[in-house]
Amino acid sequence: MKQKLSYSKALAELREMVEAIENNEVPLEELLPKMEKAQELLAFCREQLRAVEEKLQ
Amino acid sequence: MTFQETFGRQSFWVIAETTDIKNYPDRNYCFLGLAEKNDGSVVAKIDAVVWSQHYHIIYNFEKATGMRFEKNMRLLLQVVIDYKPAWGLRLHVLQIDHQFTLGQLAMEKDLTLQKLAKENPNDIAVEDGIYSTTNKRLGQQLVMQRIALITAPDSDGQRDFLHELNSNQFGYQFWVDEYHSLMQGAQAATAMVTQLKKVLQSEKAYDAVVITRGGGGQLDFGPFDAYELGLAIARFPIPIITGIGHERNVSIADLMAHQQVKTPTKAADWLVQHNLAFETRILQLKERMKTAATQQINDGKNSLSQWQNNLSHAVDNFLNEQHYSLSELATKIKLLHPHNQLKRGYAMLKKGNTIITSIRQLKQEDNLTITLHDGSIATQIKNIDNETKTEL
Repeated sequence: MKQKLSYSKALAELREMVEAIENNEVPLEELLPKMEKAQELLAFCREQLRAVEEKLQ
Repeated sequence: MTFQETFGRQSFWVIAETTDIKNYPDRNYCFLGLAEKNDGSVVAKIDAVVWSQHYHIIYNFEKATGMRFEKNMRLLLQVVIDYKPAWGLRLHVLQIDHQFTLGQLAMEKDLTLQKLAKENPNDIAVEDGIYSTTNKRLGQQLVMQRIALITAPDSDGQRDFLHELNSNQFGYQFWVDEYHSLMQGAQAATAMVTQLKKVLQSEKAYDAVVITRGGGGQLDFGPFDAYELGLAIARFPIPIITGIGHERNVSIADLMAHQQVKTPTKAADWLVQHNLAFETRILQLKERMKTAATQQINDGKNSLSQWQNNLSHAVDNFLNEQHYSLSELATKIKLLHPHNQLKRGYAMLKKGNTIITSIRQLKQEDNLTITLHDGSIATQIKNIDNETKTEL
């Protein structure tokens, strides 16, 4: 069962992903899917952040 | 020479003890029996009379001394000697020296006080003229409501005390048990001691005993200077308040009692004020508690406000940091994208859908797609050179 994604998990995954790419640990054929996944995670995190800020206003 | 010729209207000052009194206030004269005593035995006696023209001296005497004019009093009298064949030898009293009597009373009172202190050192002590008694040393109940009242029945003192107590403006409630006693005369001291004993025998938990005597003339306070009453008060285990209407001086009963006030009304007022002081302390404590609670609430509010500010700053910082992190990650993702690598002059080789990273994946005449940043080229391998190597 897929667990509901949280901000902290998404951020951690994003960091891990970027570090792996930076360290050339990602095979080329996986790079594009990773990049797409990273974009998704980034958008998710930004949305989460925006929602929290909106509530705090 | 006749008697009249010898003494005429010459007056003399004599000290004598009254052995008998026949007083006729409505007719304004008084017959006295006078005696000189030595160790209790009469060594000389004579009759005397206060006629109407001098009768006021009796009123003056009683007013000045606070005593009834009665028998068994030692007096200093100014007299003239009179002789009538029908009446015999008799003294006419012209003046009574009340200072002499007051002196006698004061002396007797001092002697009684000295005797009390000497014979009862555990209950009565005197230092620098201040008497300390067991009764004075008793602690007071914080609130005094259960009262034993020793008083004459149906007297002004009784009425004044009860009225003042029961009509107090603060609405304090009191429970008063009356112990009726003689308050004047030779038997009064014994009667009051008897009532004090009854108070104890009742075994009721009284907060105070009040002895009142008020109204009427300022006469006959002798019982309150009696040894037996003084001792009973000094030793009594419940605080005694005296309000015996003595305007001029302080009786032995007053000196021995826990608290002495002038009148029955003031005795009641003392009790009311005592209870008021307690209530005032309670109200002050309540106020202090309220103030302290308010202070604590304010402190709590300030603290929460501070924490709210801190939290707000922390959240702001956190969010800023998150924004920064996400921006940083976004920049890195952008830079790492293959498209940006291709822009820098690199090319990507594909055989079919497979990305080629090694010549070992290829052979001659394979069809390849070369992808640059702005388009693709279809090509075929003519030759493979295994020896070309680039070291970074």
